[in-house]
Amino acid sequence: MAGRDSKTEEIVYNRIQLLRTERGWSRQQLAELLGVHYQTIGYLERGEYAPSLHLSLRIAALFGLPVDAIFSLEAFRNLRPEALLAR
Amino acid sequence: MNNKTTEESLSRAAEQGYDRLLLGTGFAAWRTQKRRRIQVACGFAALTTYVGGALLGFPVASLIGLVLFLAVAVLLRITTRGVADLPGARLDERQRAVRNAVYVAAYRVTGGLFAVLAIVCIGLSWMDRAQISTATALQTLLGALFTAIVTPSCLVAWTEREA
Repeated sequence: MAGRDSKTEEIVYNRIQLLRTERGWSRQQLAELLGVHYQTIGYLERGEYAPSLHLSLRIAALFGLPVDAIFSLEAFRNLRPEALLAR
Repeated sequence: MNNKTTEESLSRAAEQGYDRLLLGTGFAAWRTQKRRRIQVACGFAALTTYVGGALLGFPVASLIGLVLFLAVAVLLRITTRGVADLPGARLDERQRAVRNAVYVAAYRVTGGLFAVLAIVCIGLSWMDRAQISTATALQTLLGALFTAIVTPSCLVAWTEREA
């Protein structure tokens, strides 16, 4: 749900945190499944690091979703019920 | 056969060492960005003591500075998880990106440092005041070399949010 370094224009939003918590995985577990350091998961979720295409494809494959369902150049809509009702 | 076994056990020991460095939970209190910045400052102070002691003729101060500097360098390696030092194959893509960025920055920093050193040397010889011993000159050069070696870890410690 977050973008990369706000100083740059290259913001990539993602839903990694949402998908991870939906599956009940810890950052450590997701890191082990992806073969990255657990801190990198934190950086990805906070949007402080935009992953390579290779890692993005691996993340998409792991969650069983298309890449564009997880990563976007535009902020994802808030899916919480109260946010949807407010619309 | 024995050589192969020794090689394998050394390789296994190295892998275990890398794992401890990358995934270890020790020194947790020293891994915050604020504490790591304090370590960088301490390392700089120790290095200044080492070089200053050598230049001003205080060998004991120089020795203390060197010992403290080496201790801080080891601590920095632990608290930055060796991101600046470990083989690339052991790091993930973000860590490799961090390492590449800090090495570029460190190259510039140490390049500038050596340029300043060169200017000081030229100035000293121009003023005919280059009356320093070979040992002192060597220690000063070693100080610059130590700076070059530890600068990538210092930059990781200074810039990374957590470790």
